[in-house]
Amino acid sequence: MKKCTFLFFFFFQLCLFAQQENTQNQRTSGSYVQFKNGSQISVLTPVVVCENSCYYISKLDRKCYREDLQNIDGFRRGTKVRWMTFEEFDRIGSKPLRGYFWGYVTFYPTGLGIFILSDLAKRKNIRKLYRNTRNSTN
Amino acid sequence: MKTFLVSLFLSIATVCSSQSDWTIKPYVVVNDTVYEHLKLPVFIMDSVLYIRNSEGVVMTFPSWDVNYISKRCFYDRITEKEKNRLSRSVATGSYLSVASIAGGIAAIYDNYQAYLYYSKNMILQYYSAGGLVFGVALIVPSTVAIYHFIQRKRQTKMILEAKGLRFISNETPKPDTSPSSTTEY
Repeated sequence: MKKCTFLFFFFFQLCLFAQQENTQNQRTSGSYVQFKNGSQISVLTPVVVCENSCYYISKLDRKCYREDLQNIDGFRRGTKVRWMTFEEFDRIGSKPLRGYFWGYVTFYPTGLGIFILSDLAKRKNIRKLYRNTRNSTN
Repeated sequence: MKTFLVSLFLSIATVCSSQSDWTIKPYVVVNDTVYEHLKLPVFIMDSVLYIRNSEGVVMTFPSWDVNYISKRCFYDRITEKEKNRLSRSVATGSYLSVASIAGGIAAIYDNYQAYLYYSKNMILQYYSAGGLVFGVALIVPSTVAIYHFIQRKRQTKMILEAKGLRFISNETPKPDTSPSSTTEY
């Protein structure tokens, strides 16, 4: 019985993680950026707000975009928006991603790995945003 | 004499309480205008005071115009270094904090069971409150950490709202339409 419980817990965690990985594309279902002209764009999380610009990855074509804040009306409630200084954006964007080892090591049975890998998946997106848009931010 | 001292203490405590602003809901005074019934957090960043009133509207004021911030605001001054903390993920920290709280509750429960066992036995006198202290030592810092994580999220939201952005509760997004001015990469 105990074995079954552990197995169930493990599969539950596995499902959560699979969902997380998949969701860098799909979990954000419903997350969008609304512009002043009324148009809305479905986006992947996290959306980055840095200085006077908003950086996002469109869910439709998976491309990175930069938009001035003055053109943006808001976000759907629940959209993960990160406000950050350019120094922090630069730090996350230019540093290599580390921590996968500890993510996998602590994946089972503690479940901590899910959160570490979830953080890494978000950082990966921020890194992508930085790398694709840095020419315009400097 | 004893009664007199107790009465004196209570009187002093009452006077101190009524004189202080602990009994009044959080408020700030800016340019001689009082903004009452504020929601927490209240903080200063880049010489700007951020407050959220009872209607949920975020207001900002230059910090040099601020006359007074009440004690119940527990206001926070965000330094240059601390600004970067706002953008960091709290997922791993939250997990560790929740795990710590669970561990603390388990330690307290286990120690309480031991207490019940030893309290019935007059011969065995091995009960020690170490487990209780350990449990509390796990729970208190973790709770404080979770409170700070929540405040950090609220502060980020306030900064975004102060920039004129809003969070829309509409459940049905319109079809995707790219604005003409967006820069694509």
